[in-house]
Amino acid sequence: MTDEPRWRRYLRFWRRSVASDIDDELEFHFEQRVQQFVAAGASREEAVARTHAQFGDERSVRSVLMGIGERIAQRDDRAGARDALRQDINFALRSLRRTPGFSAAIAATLALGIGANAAIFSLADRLFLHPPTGVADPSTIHRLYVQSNWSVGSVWEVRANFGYRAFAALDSALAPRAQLAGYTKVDSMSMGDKDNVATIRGSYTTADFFSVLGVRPAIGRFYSADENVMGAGVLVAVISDALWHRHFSGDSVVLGRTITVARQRYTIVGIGPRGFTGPDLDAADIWLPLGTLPLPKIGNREWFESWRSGSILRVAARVALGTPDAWLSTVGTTVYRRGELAGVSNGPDTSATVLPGPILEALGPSIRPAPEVAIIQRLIGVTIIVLLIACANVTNLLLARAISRRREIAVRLALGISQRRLIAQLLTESLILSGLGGAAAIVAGAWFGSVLRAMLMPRTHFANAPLDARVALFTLAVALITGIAAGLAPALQATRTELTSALKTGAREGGGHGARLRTTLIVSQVALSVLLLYGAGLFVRSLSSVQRIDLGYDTKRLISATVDFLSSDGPYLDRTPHRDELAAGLAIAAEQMKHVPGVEETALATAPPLGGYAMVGLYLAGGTRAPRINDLDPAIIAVTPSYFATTGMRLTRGRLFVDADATGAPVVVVNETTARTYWPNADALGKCVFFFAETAPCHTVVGITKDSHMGDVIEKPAVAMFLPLTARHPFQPAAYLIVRAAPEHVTRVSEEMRRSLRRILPNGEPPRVRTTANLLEPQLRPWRLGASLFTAFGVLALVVAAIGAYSVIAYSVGQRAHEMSVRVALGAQSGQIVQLVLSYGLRVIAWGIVIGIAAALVFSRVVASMLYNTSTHDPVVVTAVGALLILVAVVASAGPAWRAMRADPAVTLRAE
Amino acid sequence: MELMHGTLDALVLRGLAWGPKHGYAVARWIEESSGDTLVVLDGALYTSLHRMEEKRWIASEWGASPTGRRAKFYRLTPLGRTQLKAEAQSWTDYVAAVARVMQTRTQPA
Repeated sequence: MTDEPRWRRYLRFWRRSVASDIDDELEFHFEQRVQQFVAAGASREEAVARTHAQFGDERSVRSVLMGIGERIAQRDDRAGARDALRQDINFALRSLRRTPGFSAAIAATLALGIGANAAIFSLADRLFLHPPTGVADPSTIHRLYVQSNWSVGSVWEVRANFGYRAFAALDSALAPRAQLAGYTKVDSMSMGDKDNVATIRGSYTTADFFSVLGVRPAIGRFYSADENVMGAGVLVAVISDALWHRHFSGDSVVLGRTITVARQRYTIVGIGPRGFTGPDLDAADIWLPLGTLPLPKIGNREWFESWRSGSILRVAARVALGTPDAWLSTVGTTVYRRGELAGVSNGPDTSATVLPGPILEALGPSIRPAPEVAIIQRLIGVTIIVLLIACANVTNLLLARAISRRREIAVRLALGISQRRLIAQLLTESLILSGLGGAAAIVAGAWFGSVLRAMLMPRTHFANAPLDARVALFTLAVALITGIAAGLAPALQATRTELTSALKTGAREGGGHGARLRTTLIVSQVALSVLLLYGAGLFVRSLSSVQRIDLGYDTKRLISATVDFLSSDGPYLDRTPHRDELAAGLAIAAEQMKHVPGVEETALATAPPLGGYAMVGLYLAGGTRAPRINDLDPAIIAVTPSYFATTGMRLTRGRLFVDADATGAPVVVVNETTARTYWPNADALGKCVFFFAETAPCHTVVGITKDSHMGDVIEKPAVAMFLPLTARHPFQPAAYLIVRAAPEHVTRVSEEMRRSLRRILPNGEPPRVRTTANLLEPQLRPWRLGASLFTAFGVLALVVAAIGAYSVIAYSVGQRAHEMSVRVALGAQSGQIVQLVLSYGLRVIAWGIVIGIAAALVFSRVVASMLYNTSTHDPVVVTAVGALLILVAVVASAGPAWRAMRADPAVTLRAE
Repeated sequence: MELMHGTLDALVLRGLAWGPKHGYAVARWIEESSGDTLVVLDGALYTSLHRMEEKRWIASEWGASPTGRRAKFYRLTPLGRTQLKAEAQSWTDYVAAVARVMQTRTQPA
């Protein structure tokens, strides 16, 4: 029996072995035979000999019987386990049906906790795990990045973009071990002709793009290197399967048809495979040869002849097997630095390093991830905490129930059920609950996942539905782990019952140990939700600081508009030759708009609010060049006198422009930063500034305005100067019409502006009309997202924790009903009873608040980089969260306290 | 007389048709009802019993023998009863066919 598996030896402890059964059976047989032969008159020796002869080869028979016996035993074991499981499930279902409210509370809690994780998983999966659809063998594709210190100050910056010459140099240096593809970031492009324009998203690529990614066309072909000669690209296009279905309704004769994209007419030559949207998170509908990218010259050179200007190419490299990352980096860096030296005259970046990264963008070596990615990363942590809270909650509810079932369990133990079996039964219960929760979580998670996708990654193509096999599997796995984690402690606790004491005391007394564990759990739940709410509070504070930033304009009322013209050189926009035509048209439109209802004021300017400005050399008295501050050049905008009233910019001192300034002595209005920076110890009014050269005529400062933002919601103060629009200097003519409208009329007035400009300037492209709110929206979005998502999860956590706190307080009041009745019977006032209950609830939650806030103050560092002007130790948030939780404690205690107060002691005492 | 191959199972099933028996009782029943003409090795008998237990034709249970000794009793399962009917039928058919052939008087063509 040496080849007997070890586990079978352990099995012996409670099951008779096969061998001894055979021994017994045969021994009985031999005895009977011997007796038979002896009775027939044989001697004992003869009888034994005949018995053995009658039996045959005993050893071989035994071994056959052993084999059969082992097989039967195994079969019986399995059947036994199946039976036990069926029994456990039936038992669990029965006992869960007896308390439907309790079961539903647990399943719902788990559904929320697990569902939140499922929803985030579907996003995290795409960001960090699932390579882009359709890309063959993604592990051998690397993205290339360049780390440089040529940006602001000493901040090292990692960029994913290369100029065309840098790309070409890397391509030839890294071949043949790495094959490179260059492509532009997916961007919005116009599709269609002048007045029938839709927006699609596309990318210009090198011809190798598809072969490097290992993609084959579903129909037709991709473009060749001959069609992608830089500066002489052939207008052919490859469209995505999605665009083919959306725009051409899957028509099979789409090849050879033309499509106008970004004002050029392309012939469709191929369709990408189903689901392929490029290697980036941003999904592309169309791919065009890089050689057809219409960009104006930079200086006197084509954009692709410059080393660094026009760095618009992302680079993907298909690397031969066994090529170390270090090789890519070393060779790439050498080539890149050499190129900088040769190609950049003004400060070559000789410390630049080329870095390889994985195909998953979110895992690349970027220093500042996209806000959406940063949010999702933190949300993963948040959802895990929500799940922990849900877990603690379920454990607590199960514990409370296990204790109220002490008598039942003691009876079962007394009747001889094994502890092992009892634990199995209790675990089955919690697994069924978590299974139910998991099933609900799959549904909730799918819905929530699609909401999150739309909010956080609206431009990303997901190969899978929010609910697919991966997500479902993940969800069920989480449910299983949760079920075991939440059920184990209560099951162990329940079976560690002292039989006699449990039978004697009944359901009244909770074990001291159980009470401690329950309190610990509720304290940690409260602490964790305090942690999340604190985080949410920081994001809300941060959003409100961002929203409180004074941009210096009445942003809700402003609309700006301009018209672009197509260059005569190529398919790109250039309004310089049309500037006078544009200015005249804008002036007419401004007059017309004044009579449109809802319009309060109109103005003309060389730049719209938050939409750019001109920078020129600026000199102060004495010929000194005006210094840059905060690395920003002075911003200069020429405006009509009504500009300030239109935009809502406020005058601090001096005066604004009058009509006469257009022809009178040169004057300038400056902002407060200018006045403070250039004339720190003197009055700015009356001072001179000189544009372009120190010998230029003096522009006298006549007014000082409050600072206003030049481009971004968050920016450092910059020097800004306003000049009257006159024909005298180069800051003219007007390029933008700015309209101030009543907030409720902004949409209608925008439409009216569009129609008016189209009528007045029919030769231009469709007018670009933007409300300032539109301009701000993309900048505010990450802040809003952060605040709303973290708040949503914080509230979710709070709800779960509040349910937990309520149930534990209610339960502990129920446990002490006997004690309280005695108190009432002995003359306690109802106020004292309420105080008793409240003090327990408040004590538990106070501990949770203290621990939670301490943890929050430590861990809030992880969101510090995502906050604006908000300290991670914010006393307002501390106070608000604390107050909220105390409120929750009072609410959670109120019901149980009221019931305890109303309970009739006579009834309670008799019930025992 | 040696037992023909494959018929032991049928005999054992038949023996158990009267009610539960231990292995020795089955052996004795075969010996007695064949008038001690059939020679069955006890080892083969037990092998047959255990095989049929694995096939679920029979089930076993430990019990006390008429003499008060612990013994393993076998009984027919519903599956075994069906099997017995089938075996008995095919045996009857077989015997009838062999008998017809043996008793025939015509010369083969």
